[in-house]
Amino acid sequence: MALGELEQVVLFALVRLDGESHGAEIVEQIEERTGRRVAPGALYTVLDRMEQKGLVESWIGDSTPERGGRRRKVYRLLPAGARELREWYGGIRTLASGVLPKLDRLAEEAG
Amino acid sequence: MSARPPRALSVLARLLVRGRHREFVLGDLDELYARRVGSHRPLRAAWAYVRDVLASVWARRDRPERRRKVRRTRPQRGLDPGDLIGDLRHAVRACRRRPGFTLLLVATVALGMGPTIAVLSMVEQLLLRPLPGASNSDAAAYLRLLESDSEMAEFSPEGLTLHEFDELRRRATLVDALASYGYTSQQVSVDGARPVLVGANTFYGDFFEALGVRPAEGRLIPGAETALDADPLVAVISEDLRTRLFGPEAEAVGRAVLMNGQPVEIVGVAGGGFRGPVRGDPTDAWLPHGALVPLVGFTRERLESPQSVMHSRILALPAAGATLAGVEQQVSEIFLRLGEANPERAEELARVQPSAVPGLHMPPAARERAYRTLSMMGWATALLLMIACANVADLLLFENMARRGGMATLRALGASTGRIARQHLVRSLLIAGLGASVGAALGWGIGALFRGPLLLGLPSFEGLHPDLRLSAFVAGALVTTTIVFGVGPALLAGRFDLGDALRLSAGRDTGRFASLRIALCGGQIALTLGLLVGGILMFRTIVNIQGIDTGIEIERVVGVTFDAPEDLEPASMHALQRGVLDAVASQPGVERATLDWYGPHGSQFVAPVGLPTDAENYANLPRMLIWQVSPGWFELFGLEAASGRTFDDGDWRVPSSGAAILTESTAQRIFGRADVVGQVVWIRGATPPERRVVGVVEDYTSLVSVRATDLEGAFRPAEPTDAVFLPYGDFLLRQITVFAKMTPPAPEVPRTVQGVIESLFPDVPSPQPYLLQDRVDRIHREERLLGRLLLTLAVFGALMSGVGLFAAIYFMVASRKRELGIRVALGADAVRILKLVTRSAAAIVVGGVAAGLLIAYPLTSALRSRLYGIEHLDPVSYGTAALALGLVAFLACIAPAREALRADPVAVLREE
Repeated sequence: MALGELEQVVLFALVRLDGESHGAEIVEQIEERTGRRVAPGALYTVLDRMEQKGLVESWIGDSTPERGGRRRKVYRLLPAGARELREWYGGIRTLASGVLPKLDRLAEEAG
Repeated sequence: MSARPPRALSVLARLLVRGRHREFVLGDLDELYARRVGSHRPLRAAWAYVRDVLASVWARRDRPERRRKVRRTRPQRGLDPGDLIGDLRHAVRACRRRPGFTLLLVATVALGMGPTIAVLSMVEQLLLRPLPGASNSDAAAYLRLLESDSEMAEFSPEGLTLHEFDELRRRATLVDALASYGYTSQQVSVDGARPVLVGANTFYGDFFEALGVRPAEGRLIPGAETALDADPLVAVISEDLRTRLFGPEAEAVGRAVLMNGQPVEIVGVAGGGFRGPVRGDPTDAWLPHGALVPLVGFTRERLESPQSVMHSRILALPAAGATLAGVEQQVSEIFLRLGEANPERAEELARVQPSAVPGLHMPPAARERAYRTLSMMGWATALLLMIACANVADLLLFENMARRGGMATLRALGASTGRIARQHLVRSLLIAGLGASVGAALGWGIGALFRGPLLLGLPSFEGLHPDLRLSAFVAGALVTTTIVFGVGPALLAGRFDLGDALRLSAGRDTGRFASLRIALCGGQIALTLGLLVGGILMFRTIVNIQGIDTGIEIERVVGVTFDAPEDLEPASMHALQRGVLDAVASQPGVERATLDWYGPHGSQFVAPVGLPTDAENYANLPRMLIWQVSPGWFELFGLEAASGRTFDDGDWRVPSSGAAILTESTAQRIFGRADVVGQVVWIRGATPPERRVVGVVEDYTSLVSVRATDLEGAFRPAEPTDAVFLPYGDFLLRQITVFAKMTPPAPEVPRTVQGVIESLFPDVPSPQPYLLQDRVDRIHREERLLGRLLLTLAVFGALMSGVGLFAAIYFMVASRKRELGIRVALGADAVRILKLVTRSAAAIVVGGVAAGLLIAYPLTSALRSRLYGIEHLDPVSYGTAALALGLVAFLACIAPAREALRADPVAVLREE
């Protein structure tokens, strides 16, 4: 099963958040680590899709005052999701090992 | 307490964010905002919030396959369509469900917008459009020397001499470019072809620099080359003239043309469609001031003379950073110093009040009058727009009341106010969009109707043209209409509750908004009355002017004006004039012919006239119009001799026979009696000044004395014109006008006389024939324009008022259905029911008419100077307008009354 780019990012964020979190925290985590801003609306589209693939599961959580009394939707990384991410990451790491100096040189030449 | 996003932003988010995860997304947005406020500035956090909202909405819209999936799982499709497409579908369904009502709304918006667009287009074209080809059109200014500029400014003593203008150019440091210009007409011919008559400007100073004209070909004439020592026989011509003379592709630069018989070299072609410094008075050739010597026959001494004040039309380009007030101030000071240096001119220079009129969008002389007329049209259109707005509000309110049940049910089932408001918004947008499209088409139609010359001294109106400002207005009006009339009633709708809904099933009007609806309806009637009264007054003015008994007949009279090919001695000129008259008179289809200067309703000489004994004190003598006419003039125009005779061939000779003819009122004025044949009258400036009266003719009224064809404002009462007739040619003039009375039926385009002139004088430009009636009609052109416009608007207004009233009465009938049903059951006949219904309408109409009288008063007061033979508070016009509106109201009552008559008491009671 191929993972989309945003799916990988969201899954990593979930891992960093101990495998379980809700939208605002995930958005913040992604922004902190990558500098990339993901809109909550877009995030739920991705999470929805991953839930259908069986990579995450969700449930309705509690409400808090800072959310204007609205409830949270909490997502948890499922083992299938963790495996998928691990597999993808392993593949990438193998592919990338030893190429960094080359990449730097190429980038310098190009620059 | 945690930070919450600003209320406006969270409302925006609530309106925009839709879908299955709405609650969580909104929660996340708020939470993210609260976290960001801790680390960022509030403004940045708010901006991030807005960006997230928009990105969230965008993310959903971007994935159609997802949207379809979400829609399938939606539990209550009717209540939460979820997106704009759904709302749009809902709006289309709602419109189709009530086609008549939708049509009314669309028509109302269109009727309001169409005329507005047309009038705005007129304003844009006539007042706001920059001078073509002049890049300094906004920055440059007309420098007027007197506050009351008139067409005669050139001949008034308030111009500057050449020396004074040179000094002004040298000392005025706050202007970058300064130029004076004048008008001349030139007969231009190329390679021996028949010459064409071309309007030209002669100019002195930095003319093209002040205007910011660029050459399309060759070069322009810089200020330095306008000095009197420079070669005067050079010209820049317009692109239009280049095409006319040489064809579209040919080179013009370097070629020589004949202007008034002199060879002139074309040094350049002005680019960008430049047609002279004044819109509405286009010229096609521009020559240095010195060209007046070879081309017009002025002497060089005259141009340089300290008595010759030829520089009165002045263009100025203020220097960067200089204000117009600063320029005026500096110019005033320069004039004061010039006056000190030259005591002979000190008094006249002190009278000069320089004023810089910013922008070259319209000629300064026409400016005030055109503003007045167009502002009146603007106000009238604004009234119509207000009527349309009131009508839209009225109709939507009416509809809202009718749909209260449905909306309250929606509310009871959980639809939010925002949701209902959004549905309304989309529906209003749809209706406003449709209305605006139809309105634009209507505006185009009205524009086509008014195409042509509208106002004196301004360019012709070309009909509706797409324009950025216009589009912006339409868009603005669209958005305003939508927001005010779409969301407003919907927010009110949010206040309906289920109790209302249940009461409504009984068809009862709870009375809510009833007074507002009546006020809107009455307001429309009031505004319409204002328009209608104005339209009727203008219409009657035109009828009155057309009904003036001038005492002369101008039907089937064709005129042709041209210049004799050269300046001739009196005897040769006389022979030429006689030849022209005989040639025209002998043409088939010509009943009679005569010579005149500008015709019985055109401009004429004015001179002091009295008894020979008064010659010394001529300053106190009355000034009268002096007509030069050939034999046959009185017969052609149907003016009969009261005593003596009219001119015959014996009176028309060189040297002058010294004959004169007076009208009866002129004779009375000079001699105190009408029987003055054989007496001698003295006319200043005539040769000879002492004239023997050979006849006295009936009085007649020249329309030129009712309204001068220049830019004067008000009409004067039609009184017999003080006129003295002399044999043609007593004042030597190169210009000749031939009038021919054609045998009926007169041709549409009377070419006969033109053909005669063309064949007699192959070297003069082909003259344009005209029907005298058309020239006379120009005198009340602006009144016709205002009258047509006001009546058109009034008809639209009356239509809309009728619709508004219909809606109000219809609603009243619907809410009183039960009562009316019982009355019908108890035997009330149709007349009685109609009476009941019209009584309700009458209250609205009477109130509206009363308010309308108050509105009509200032409107008609503004029209006062445009009225002729009628008072602005004319009771007949006011009464007619009120009656017409009453009739409209009555017609609007018929359908609701029929509805009431059809009410079945049993059904009504069962509904209860």
